[in-house]
Amino acid sequence: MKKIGIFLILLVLASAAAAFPKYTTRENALRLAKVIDKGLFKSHRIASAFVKNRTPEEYYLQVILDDGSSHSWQMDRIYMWALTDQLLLPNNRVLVFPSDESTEFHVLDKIAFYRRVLKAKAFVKTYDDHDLLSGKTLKFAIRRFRLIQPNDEDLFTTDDMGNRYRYVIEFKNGSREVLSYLSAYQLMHNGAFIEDPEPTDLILERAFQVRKMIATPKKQEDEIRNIWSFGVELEFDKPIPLTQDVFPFQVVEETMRHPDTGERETRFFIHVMFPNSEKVQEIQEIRTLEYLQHVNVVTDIAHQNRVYLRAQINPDVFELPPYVQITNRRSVKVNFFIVTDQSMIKRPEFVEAQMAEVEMHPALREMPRDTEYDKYYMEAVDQIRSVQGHHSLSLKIETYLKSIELLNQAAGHAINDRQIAQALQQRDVLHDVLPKMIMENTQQQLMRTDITPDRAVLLEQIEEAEDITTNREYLKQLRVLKNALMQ
Amino acid sequence: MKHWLIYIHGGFFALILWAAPLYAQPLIDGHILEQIDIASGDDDKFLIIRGILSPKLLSSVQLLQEDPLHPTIVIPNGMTNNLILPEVTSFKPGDIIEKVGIEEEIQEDGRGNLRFRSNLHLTSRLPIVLSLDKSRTTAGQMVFLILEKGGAGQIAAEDTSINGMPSLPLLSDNAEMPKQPGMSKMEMKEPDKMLLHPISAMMVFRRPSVLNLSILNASPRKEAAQRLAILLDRHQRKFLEDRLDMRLHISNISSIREQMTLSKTKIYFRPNYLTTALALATVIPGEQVVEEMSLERRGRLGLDVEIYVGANFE
Repeated sequence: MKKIGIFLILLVLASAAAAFPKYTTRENALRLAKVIDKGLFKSHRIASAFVKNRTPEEYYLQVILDDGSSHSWQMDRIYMWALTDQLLLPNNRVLVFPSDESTEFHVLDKIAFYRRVLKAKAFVKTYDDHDLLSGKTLKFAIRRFRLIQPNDEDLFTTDDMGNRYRYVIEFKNGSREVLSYLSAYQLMHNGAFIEDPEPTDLILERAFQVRKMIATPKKQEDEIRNIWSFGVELEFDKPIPLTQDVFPFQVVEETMRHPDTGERETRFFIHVMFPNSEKVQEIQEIRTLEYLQHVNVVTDIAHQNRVYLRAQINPDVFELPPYVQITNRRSVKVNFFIVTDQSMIKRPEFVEAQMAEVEMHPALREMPRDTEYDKYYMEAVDQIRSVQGHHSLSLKIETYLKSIELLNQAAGHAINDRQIAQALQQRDVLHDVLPKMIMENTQQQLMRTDITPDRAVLLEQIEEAEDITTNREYLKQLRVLKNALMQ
Repeated sequence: MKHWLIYIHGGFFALILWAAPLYAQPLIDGHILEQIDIASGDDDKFLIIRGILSPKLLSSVQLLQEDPLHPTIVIPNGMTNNLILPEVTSFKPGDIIEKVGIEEEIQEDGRGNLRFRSNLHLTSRLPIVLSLDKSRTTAGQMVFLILEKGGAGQIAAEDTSINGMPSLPLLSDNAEMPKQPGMSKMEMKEPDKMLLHPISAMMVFRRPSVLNLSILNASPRKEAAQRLAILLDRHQRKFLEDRLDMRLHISNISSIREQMTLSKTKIYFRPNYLTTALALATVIPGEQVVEEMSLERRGRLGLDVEIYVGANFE
């Protein structure tokens, strides 16, 4: 087994070295010569190191060892020897190369690293590219630090660049971080080791244990678009101090055989990830919850201390991403949305301007720019959202009427077709729901015996509704209500 | 028979006489009480009064808690909907509150204006203290937290007395809830400002007419990105454009670092491009993983969706 491991390491190293440049710049070569001077190469001390060049841009080293032999060292060989511990620097330091495509190098002072890591109480974990938590950081309390011993299996593993793993940092939550010389250098210089945590630092110790999964009932989230929400709440053994941005989700496509027919079929699953969490007891699966099927909590086998809320979805009806809310009662609620009106998702039909329009930068498309249009449009959106779920019809009507005004203002400040279409589409959505709402409210107000309706306001609203709607039935009912108000 | 008719007509006339000044009242906001329930959280119990409520009048609700077995909730401007809400609401034997009786008062303020008040007389099985849970009270429900007197979660609430009338003024709109040790709250924490609610994001989003797509090879096979680009461009373009209502534009085909290979193809999407990414996943052969772009990736110019072609792409 070990032989296979060594063979694999050599294979990785050979392929890594093959891509590594042979020559470097003059400045880099001068700095490297200074660094390796008096270092050890295999069993020989380096007596002196010089810089030589093949062309004006291509430099390498000429080294004289303590046995008097002189050698030309190209950068790819130095890189290879550094990876395999054949080249050691004086004062317990090592060479590290952050990239296998560049001759840029750093020097890890191992003694300084040990001192830093042994004093550290917490470790700042920054997640790599392609991790679901990519770009996010979490802080873990350190339990202990140790060196990988020669008899450890980990000795025979390397990162994808061929850097051998040397150290292990174990955390109080049971997970661990394995470091190479390169990652040790990078972490030390990126401030990953916290010696004196601030009182405001959120340092994770024990993992959160999932206790229960509860389905939360369907409720209307947005009445004017007829968007509904339902949820799944995971209850933990202790409060969750994390923010919602560290609960990302992914949709995973899996091909599996149908249990009855044996035919291969593709299924899509949503995974909402819970960091620093573990499942230590069986959690009852929810077989069907609205459009989710087989809702359960699973442990992520590829990452430490992660669980997923996993459910099968139909990709054709999964239109809005889930929204995570962290409650104050030891639970995290994942909200899912049901969009019944597909036109909300589709791009509105409109005629593109004849003149080629400069496309807005995609990064700016997500959040509106600070234009007059955006100001009015955002205010309308805020107003509309603010009364969703509110019980007072009067308040809703007043707010929607104000929002229509704002949307008209936004449309008046639009500078392209897309903006005007967006504002008018939003206005039309309100136009669709308002007349019915005004009629209901007027009826309710007239039937109430405890208060006297403000007839002037209601009349005004009825007239607004008459202006808005073209529905004959509505117009008829509005006339009846208007007469009742005028009596 | 005639007598009955006289009584009915008389009653109707009396009702009109009673209702006429009422109808002529200036607009007075108030509560209509329709239902009374008891709900339990993990550790907490709540008395919920449902109906059409006026949040701005909540500050005038009073709690009379001299007798911990018989507290009273006084709701000024509160009327009951007699069709739905009975005079006495009884609860199950296991519930902490046995019953709630409702007494309605109608008073004239001397200027011809009528004032309504509903007094809810509670009969409890154990000594209790009530407090208005403002965080859960909405225009549709008034929620009172029920704490057992002497229990771990009891608040140190003392009745205040004005002119000998014991009354616990409830929280004003600006008042803070007293700290209640051991209490758990059902409300959600303030959402992170960075994350827009999906519906707000959808409303704010302006869907462009062009989908900018980048295809990167993260597979050990050469030209995998190119082959996927050909597949999308030549074979799936029409389907995708029809479905997404956007013009497909493959703006970049390239490779990533040689050592970086992904076992499965990954599709990264900007916020609001979830459906787009899922549509792409359905047409690409093999198994895909669809994830939202990290903040770092979102900084890259001209890209809406990035596909990293993994080793599983055939």
